[in-house]
Amino acid sequence: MPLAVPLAKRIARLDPVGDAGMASAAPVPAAARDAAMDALDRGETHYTDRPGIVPLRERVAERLQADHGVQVDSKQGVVITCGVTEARFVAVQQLLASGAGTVVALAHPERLAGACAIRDVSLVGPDADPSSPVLVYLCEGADPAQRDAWLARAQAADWPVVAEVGPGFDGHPAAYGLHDRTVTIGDVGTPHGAEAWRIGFLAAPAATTGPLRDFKQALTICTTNVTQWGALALMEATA
Amino acid sequence: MTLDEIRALDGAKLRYALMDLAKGVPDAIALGRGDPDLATPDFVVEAGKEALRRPEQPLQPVAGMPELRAAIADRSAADHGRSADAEQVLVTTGGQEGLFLIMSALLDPGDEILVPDPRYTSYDQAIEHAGGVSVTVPTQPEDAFDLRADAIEPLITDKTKALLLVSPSNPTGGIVTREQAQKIAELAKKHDFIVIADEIYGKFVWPPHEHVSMGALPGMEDHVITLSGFSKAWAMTGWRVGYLIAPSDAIDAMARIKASTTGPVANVSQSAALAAARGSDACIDAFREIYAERRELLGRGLRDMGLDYTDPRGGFFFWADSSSTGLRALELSYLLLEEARVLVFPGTGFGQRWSDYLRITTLQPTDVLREAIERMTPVVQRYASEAKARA
Repeated sequence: MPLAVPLAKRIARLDPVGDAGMASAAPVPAAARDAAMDALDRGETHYTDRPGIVPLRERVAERLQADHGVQVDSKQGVVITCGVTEARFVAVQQLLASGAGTVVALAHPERLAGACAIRDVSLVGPDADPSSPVLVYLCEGADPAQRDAWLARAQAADWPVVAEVGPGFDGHPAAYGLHDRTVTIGDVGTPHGAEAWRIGFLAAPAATTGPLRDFKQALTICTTNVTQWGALALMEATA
Repeated sequence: MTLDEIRALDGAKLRYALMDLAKGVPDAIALGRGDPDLATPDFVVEAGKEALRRPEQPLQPVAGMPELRAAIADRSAADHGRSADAEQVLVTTGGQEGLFLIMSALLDPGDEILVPDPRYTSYDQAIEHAGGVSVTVPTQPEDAFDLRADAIEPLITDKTKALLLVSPSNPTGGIVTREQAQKIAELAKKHDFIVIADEIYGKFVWPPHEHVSMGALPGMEDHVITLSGFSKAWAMTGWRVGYLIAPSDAIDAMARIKASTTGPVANVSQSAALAAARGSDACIDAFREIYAERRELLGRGLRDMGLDYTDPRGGFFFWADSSSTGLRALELSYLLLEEARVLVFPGTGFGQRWSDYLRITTLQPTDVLREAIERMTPVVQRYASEAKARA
């Protein structure tokens, strides 16, 4: 039975979803699963602070500093998200005005296709020459020469950059002097078989993070409590 | 943050600013946030732990674990008389994401949505993001803040796409009675708009009142999207599991959006929710008794200190009139935090015209509620005396 009114036009631009789930790529380390069970035994079943539990934010900040030379304030500059999916979504929704912008994806444009369609902004590859305001999306697999060229354009034009860090990522925009306008996002669980726990993050200078944090709060209030504790143990086990 | 800085805020920002402020107040009692203090039932926690014992942690489908969707559909029929198939259920990251998905799936820019006043203002951001226009439907203290069809009808235009119906209401505790629900259903069918029925507090309606599920009314299957979840009824806020029930084309559309907002809900949470959905209601019955006792205690305390209110017919909150103190509720809530170390939310966190109201939750143990009442009473009475002397 269909709904009695037409659905929003934006739906037509979104791909259908399948009914299938997915096995984890690797077994999740026992230490992380035990930490999550311990959290349940402690009664960690309530909302957390909306940006996430403090020790996990601290570990994310430490890891960004160690791996990418990025300095963020763990209290004001890090938000734990429901997987990297939510981090991507929040960034696109908040960094570009509705219907007025272009996302240049230097690789893996499929990751942002839905978020761009919902925001009604264009999504193009690195060979495009957009005229509207731009958000540059950088992740693993980007061509180094194109990355350098687009980051230079971002610096000249004062465009925001979203850098999705993870295995294979290289060349964080902070090294190009773009720290102030870069939102760094990532996935805590997936590299360790725990994508199903839905723990990601976004990190940025404190001045940028406020609206992102507010939007995340409006979207999901906070991220799942128990799996944040499991993800913390994952990060500590793999430090 | 100073009082002047707080004054500049409203809606969700005001609520969160006060919560942040309370973190710096030693020994503060929080009667603000709608987070049940009670523990998630043991059998539900155990189901979450059982899922964690397995080394493999499978990613669930975007729309939700099939068994959970089926269990929610079964519960909908058993609890509310709304029959649904599993394909008509979408599992969401809490009710909050559910309402974002609804607004994104329903509203084109310029579409109007009727929203109750006062309301939980986090709805507003989802509406604005979709380009929708909120049209407020007043609710009145003399009606116990129940939503009435005659308040809705004059506001319907050719741009009206939906009505947001929250029963029981957050913050007022008002409900939609069966008589009014039937009238609203007729309006929806006559004017072809959708009723978004937020029933997250539906398990906590206080006798002699009853919870009426809009989707169960005859002929309303294709006019209702039901939003609910596990957070309140099973004290599961931190697990982040909500759900939507709607015609399958709407569920398909919202699942497409959900693939880009957060993807699937955490597997551990879905396993726990499955146990809750399949379990008996004994734990909810026990919660209800606890909340009823608290409601009685806090209600008596508020009246004794001089804060008037209409008896809430459901939910966890008192919506109390603070005008006897001669202070705006925002200032009173700031002073209650400063002088009594008790956090309550001012009405402007739920709509701009509610500057003389406070939202106060029952979500603390009875001994803590007693302590809160003892702390609040002299502060409220002192300001009320000063106001009387000035009059």
